[in-house]
Amino acid sequence: MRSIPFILFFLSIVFSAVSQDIPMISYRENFFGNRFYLVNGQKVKTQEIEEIMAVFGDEAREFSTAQNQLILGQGLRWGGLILGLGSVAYLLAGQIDQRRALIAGGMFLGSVVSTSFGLPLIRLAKRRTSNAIEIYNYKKSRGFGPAASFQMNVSPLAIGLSLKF
Amino acid sequence: MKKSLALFGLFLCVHFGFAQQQPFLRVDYRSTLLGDRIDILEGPNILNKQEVMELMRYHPEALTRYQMSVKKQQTSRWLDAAATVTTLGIVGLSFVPAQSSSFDTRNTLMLPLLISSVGLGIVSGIFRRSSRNMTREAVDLYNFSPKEQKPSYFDDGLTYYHIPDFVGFQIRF
Repeated sequence: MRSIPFILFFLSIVFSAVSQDIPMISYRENFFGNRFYLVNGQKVKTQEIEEIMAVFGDEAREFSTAQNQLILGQGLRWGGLILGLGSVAYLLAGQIDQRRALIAGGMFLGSVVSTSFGLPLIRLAKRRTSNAIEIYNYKKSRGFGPAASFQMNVSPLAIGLSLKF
Repeated sequence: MKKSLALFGLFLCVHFGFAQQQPFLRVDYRSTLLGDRIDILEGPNILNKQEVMELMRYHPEALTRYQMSVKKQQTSRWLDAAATVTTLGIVGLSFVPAQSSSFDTRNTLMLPLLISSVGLGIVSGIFRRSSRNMTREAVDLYNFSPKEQKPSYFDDGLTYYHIPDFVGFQIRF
């Protein structure tokens, strides 16, 4: 019989979700398919996103590595585009002989290789960033905090101890 | 000890509110052979359209966004199909030998087909991006909507409120 109040006490722990101090992150795509990030509905720069996500270290690290990957992929893709256009321009710049055709062909091959490495990198990086953001949002919506907290909560319908970790 | 228990029974109406958490949805994009696909996942499971609509039943705003995004997705798919057809037409036409220099079906059809294929590609891209953004909006609205407290009733006439994300005792005075 003595144990019942203890059981009652331990069962009165309230896991209250939705901690308001951590902002919610989302993203949209603009006309060119590039992403821009929203924090509580407001447009925010990518560097600031990394700072905001630092609450959860793993996700912030994942986000920043994926962001570097995205920049690398975009660089490869633009480099490929410039090389391809340059090869065409070089080929048509003067009299087409064997040497000019060889150099233009080599440039075009380089552009194809660069683009074929860049596009999958971009796709992978976008998926990784969105995964990191989704894990962050999941943790936020489930009330995971940056540090564990233990406090008394009183609401009109319930009373108890709130434990967040 | 018995007295205190009796007090508990007399003054406090206590019952458990077990945590019944609302699922957290995720969005994933896949590019398939015919256009791209937007998947909505709950954990590792891919949900189909009916399941998503069932989940979003109590979130009318999210539901309307989702329905709009589905419509846009269908439109973009049709436009993609049309663009594929025009591209195939261009490829087919370029293999047709020229008939005569004065009247040539190849030359008269080629330019409109090229323009329409490029235009269809751009328009379908606009629809695709906007449907992705709509899906994200719907999922965000669903995930972060204020949780409704739906009252449900017991036989004894007492009102019972279900509080989501709650484990513990509810004490009512």
